[in-house]
Amino acid sequence: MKDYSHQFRTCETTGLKIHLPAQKLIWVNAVSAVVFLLVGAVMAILIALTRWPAVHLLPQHLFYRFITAHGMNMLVFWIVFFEMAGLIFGASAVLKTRFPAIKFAWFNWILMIIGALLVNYAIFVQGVDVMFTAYPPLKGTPLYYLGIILFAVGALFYSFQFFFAVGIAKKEGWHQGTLPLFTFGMLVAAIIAVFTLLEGAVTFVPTFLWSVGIIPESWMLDSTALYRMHFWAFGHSAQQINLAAMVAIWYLLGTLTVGAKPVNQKLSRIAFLLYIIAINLGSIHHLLVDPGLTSTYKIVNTTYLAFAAVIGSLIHAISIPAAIETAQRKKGLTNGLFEWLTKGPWSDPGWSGMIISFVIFGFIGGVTGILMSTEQLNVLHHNNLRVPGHFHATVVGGTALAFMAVAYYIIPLVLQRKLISKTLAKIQPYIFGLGILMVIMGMTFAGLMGVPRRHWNIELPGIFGGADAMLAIMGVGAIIAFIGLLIFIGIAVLSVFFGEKIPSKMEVHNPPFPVKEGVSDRKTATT
Amino acid sequence: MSIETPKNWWKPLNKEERIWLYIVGVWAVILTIMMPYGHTRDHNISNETWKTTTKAYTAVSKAFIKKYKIGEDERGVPIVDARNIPEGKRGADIFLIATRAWQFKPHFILKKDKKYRIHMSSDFYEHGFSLQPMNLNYQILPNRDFVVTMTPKQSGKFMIVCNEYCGPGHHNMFTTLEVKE
Ligand code: HEM
Ligand SMILES: [Cu+2]
Ligand SMILES: [Cu+2]
Repeated sequence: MKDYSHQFRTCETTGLKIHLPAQKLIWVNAVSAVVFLLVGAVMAILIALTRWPAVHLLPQHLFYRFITAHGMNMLVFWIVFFEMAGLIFGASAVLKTRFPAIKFAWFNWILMIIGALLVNYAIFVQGVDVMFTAYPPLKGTPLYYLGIILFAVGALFYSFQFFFAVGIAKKEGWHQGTLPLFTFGMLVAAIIAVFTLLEGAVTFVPTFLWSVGIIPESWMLDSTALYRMHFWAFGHSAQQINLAAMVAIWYLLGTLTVGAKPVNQKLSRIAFLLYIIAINLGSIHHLLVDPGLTSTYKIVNTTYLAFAAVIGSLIHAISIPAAIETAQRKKGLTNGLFEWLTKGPWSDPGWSGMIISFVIFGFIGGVTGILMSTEQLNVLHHNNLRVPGHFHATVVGGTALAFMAVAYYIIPLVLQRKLISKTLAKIQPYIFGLGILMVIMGMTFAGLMGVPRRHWNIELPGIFGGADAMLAIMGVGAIIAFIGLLIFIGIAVLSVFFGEKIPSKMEVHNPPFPVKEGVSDRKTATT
Repeated sequence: MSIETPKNWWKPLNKEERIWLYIVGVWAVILTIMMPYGHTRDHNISNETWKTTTKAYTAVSKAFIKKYKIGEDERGVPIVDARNIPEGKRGADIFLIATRAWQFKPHFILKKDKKYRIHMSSDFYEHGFSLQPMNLNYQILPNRDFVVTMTPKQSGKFMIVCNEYCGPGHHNMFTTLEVKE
């Protein structure tokens, strides 16, 4: 076996052994994520100010183009690049192992970055405004679909590489026994990613072929219902990846902020497994008012299969707070029911971000999601602003905020830079949390009044006047959330490039569970 | 710790965890029963869809509008008076089309308390049927004729607004539905 022992440093705080080539990969994926977050954030403020009737900022074509750009850059590029960083971290540092096939990993990153740039080129230069759902016969340019495919292939390869890395860690004796819970959560995310990305291929390869003229339009016109099913098998499962990654990060944050230990690992792991079981068929909740599917089919798919995932989330909903509470009580914060919470480290952005994301995701995202995915109630929600209201609670107030919170730890611990401003970091989760909460509430209540999503000017039909106040709340919230995002992006980018370096302590690190001589010789002979 | 390798992790659940699991289980059962229950109470949305083609549906819609048209509204949308269409056993068939030029056709006049079968389809893009202020929302697809049965119980002016993004003219897509005694 090649000698990797000199490629490690020890993290002083956590004791993790960080493989330096993996650290570079984490760096490049995390920085890419934040760059796309910036693009998405600029789009966010522009479209939000357009939807606020009193401001109505953008002309119509730019509005639709920028929603497309916002959806892709936020939901896909920011989130997925960050998750790739999480996968690499989970499969290397947490296992105290080397990350194998470094060149392949760089190749994957290049695929993804080319894909993301192509999509942005298609949107901004070629003027693609089909929304991230791209329902045919709305047609993007070939480069748009090609970009999505390249990006997805890169992410798929990263998932495979994650499995490979865990395998190598075992085989070469870096790690023995059960996977740590964080890595287990990321493993679940990677497994879901494989299914998701294959569905992505089923969706976007035919659309690409249609865009270059190989598949005739009449086929696409007849397959709109089928496209929707495959698109959401991809698009909704992708949210299960985000969910698994976010929950894994909550556990990680519990550990990093107050030293929380999962109370019962068995329970937490079963909850993660439920996510895998429930991924694919629950996606039908996007098609609840579609023609062509029977109520029975919709009900079967949105009841027991979706509720399996809900049970998973409810388990985490007790085991994460329980872990935190136990750790806090051990420190002597035992007065009353909630001292463990009220005396938490509220000036640590990792902690405040975690708690706020937990509350927004669970109480608002979860509850609105359950309502909407009820077959008989969906008719009151479908495609009105309540839908973005719901997913800004799940994927923004929940996932994106959890990612930001953990970034405040990743930057010093993994990327070895001090945060350039602790004061700003301290207040950032509160600002962003407040802003996005207003966005969520404004959208939800405007949706309740029937205001459609993705709509440039709701004054035209002349019936939505009552919603103006709600849309104003959304608009003001958007400004606050935008400021919150800018603070985060500023801190992240400036710290990574100009923050004070935290010196690393290089240490020789060998597999602690060495394989027997003869066996390892045979391995080097065959590989 | 979530980043440590656990030694012995297959442990029995403690009391709080078990209580919580019971609560979650009961709640999941209630939710799971709720939808089939709504199913038996006829709370579902329509299950009736016919295969069609954009061409055939356009022709049907044209003929329908021609037959019952009584004029045009201020936006140039043909007004169809559907008050006297024979109701039959299952309801009076009326046809809504979402066109490629981002228009809903026609502007309907319906009769209060009369049962209608609203057919909806598109001649190209996907669209949304959003009846306001009831806030009832359906998906419209090309090549599919989706039939929703409704009996207006209230007279007045209602709006059908497109709420599925269908291209640059999306926000221009709405039409009126009047219900008269
Ligand atoms: C400053 C923070 C943000 C604001 C103010 C904001 C605002 C908005 C607004 C106004 C819309 C358009 C709603 C509509 O007209 O249908 C929207 C759509 C959307 N946003 Fe955000 N957003 C923010 C952050 C995010 C983040 C971080 C994500 C993803 C992680 C995200 C994901 C989405 C998605 C997927 C859509 C749907 C796009 C579509 O309908 O095609 N947003 N957002
Ligand atoms: Cu439309
Ligand atoms: Cu539309």
